[in-house]
Amino acid sequence: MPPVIKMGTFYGGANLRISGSTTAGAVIVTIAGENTDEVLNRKVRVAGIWINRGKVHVSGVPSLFLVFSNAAQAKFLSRKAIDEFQLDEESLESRMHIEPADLDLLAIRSAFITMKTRLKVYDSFVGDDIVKKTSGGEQTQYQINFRWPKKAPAGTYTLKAYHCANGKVAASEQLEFKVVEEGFPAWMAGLAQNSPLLYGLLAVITALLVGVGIDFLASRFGRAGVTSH
Amino acid sequence: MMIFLPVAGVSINLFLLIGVGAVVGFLSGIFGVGGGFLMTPLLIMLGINPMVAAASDANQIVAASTSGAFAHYHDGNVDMKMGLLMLIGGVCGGGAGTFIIKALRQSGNVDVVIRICYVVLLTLVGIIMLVESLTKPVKKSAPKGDRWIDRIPIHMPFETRFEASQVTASALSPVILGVIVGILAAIMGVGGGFLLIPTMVYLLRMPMKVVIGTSLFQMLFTASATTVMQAAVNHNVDLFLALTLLIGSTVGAQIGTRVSRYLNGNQLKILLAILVLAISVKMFLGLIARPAHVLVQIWGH
Repeated sequence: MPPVIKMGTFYGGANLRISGSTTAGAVIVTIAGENTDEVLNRKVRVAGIWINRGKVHVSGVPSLFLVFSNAAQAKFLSRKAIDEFQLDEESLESRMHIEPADLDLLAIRSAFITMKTRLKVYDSFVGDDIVKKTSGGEQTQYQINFRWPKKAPAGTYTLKAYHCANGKVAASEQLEFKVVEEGFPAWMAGLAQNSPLLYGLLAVITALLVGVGIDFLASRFGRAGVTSH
Repeated sequence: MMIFLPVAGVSINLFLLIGVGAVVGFLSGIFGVGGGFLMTPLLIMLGINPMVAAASDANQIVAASTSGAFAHYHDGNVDMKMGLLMLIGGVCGGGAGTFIIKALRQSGNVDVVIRICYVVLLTLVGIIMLVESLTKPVKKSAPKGDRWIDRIPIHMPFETRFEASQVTASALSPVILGVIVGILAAIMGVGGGFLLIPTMVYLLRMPMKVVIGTSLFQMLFTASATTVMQAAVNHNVDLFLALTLLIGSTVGAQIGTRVSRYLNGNQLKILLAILVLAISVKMFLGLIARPAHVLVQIWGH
């Protein structure tokens, strides 16, 4: 895993590889983003149209959660261990804090996980083709190839590998890596946020110059009489 | 090849984006319409936040209308007095529209309102185009005073003479028109030509060559003002998105204009009307169908 994933101009996700070794029978790898407070709109149907009514504040869960395992976690671990180490989405639901509290909390938890799953920032990858093991002997090498989701926001992420044996987590290790915006997107996003008036003027001036340039090129190569409405 | 749009905060296929611009530009070239009313809904379908789509489309209109506006200005086809009055209205309307967007954003329904506006607009535009292309051409309009609208007993103050257009009208008319167009530009990212041109032709009775030049002049400055206000207040203009669309729309418009010489205009108008209505239906279905998830992330959070 690289220490930094850079979101530059041509960013569209990234192909990543996690590799390591284990002496245990099974390994479960998770990648989790920082716990975030999210404010979401809630859709309700009014007069046949789905509108946003009311806000839901969700906290206590990571911005991203990916889990990799060569078989279902329940094959290696007890439910208690899975919840303790947060090794599946069900264990995340129990830690979710939702406001206002008078909502249907079960439905909101489920809807939140569904939303994150559709955005591909919450996902489970299970199978021998996911966590590939090689070589025998005392140590088993494992390798996971996957596509980093393009919708994962910039931030700090924690990768944890849990070595599982006899129904328990025998050992674990972790490392942190960052996803950062860089280059032109970072500069432009920063300018738009920190100097919005200057950014707006720059946008107009750039558009005017491009328009003049197009007009110049069109007149040189034969204008086709285009107007815009 | 993917590109990361810094303000929209999404990665999208570069060629798909250029292609959308090219298709809209191609249709503009064939039909002489601006395409802003098509561009924003298509961007929304690609997953761009509606607020960002509308504001960035307004930015794109600045570039797209620049060359035409200057060309008409040099040819003497711009009624500066009319244009400046419309511009005053346009800036006020653009400001009002920007703050309407801000208020809607706080209420959480800006995307719903933009979609509803587009369903209404596209349905009206599509039906009008379909009716126009299926019915016989209207006879030359009656002299002033003989039309039904001239018999409506509304007298607006501040009548003034517009020499370039050779018309006499209330100075409030272009201001009010500009306000409406400015609000539409801010909320929906359209240039407003579909409203400006028929109003100037049928209500203000301006000659067509002055109408096109004056509307382009007004759109250029209104879209510019709207872009600055949207960027300053709502932080929702993605310059990178606007320029990428412009690359495609410029090429598409050039091709479309050349192709239009060989095609039957009326049949194409019917096809465009059907396309516009199809997009309207899709957007309407998106409003009434149960969403994939009942929790929605708020853009900018």
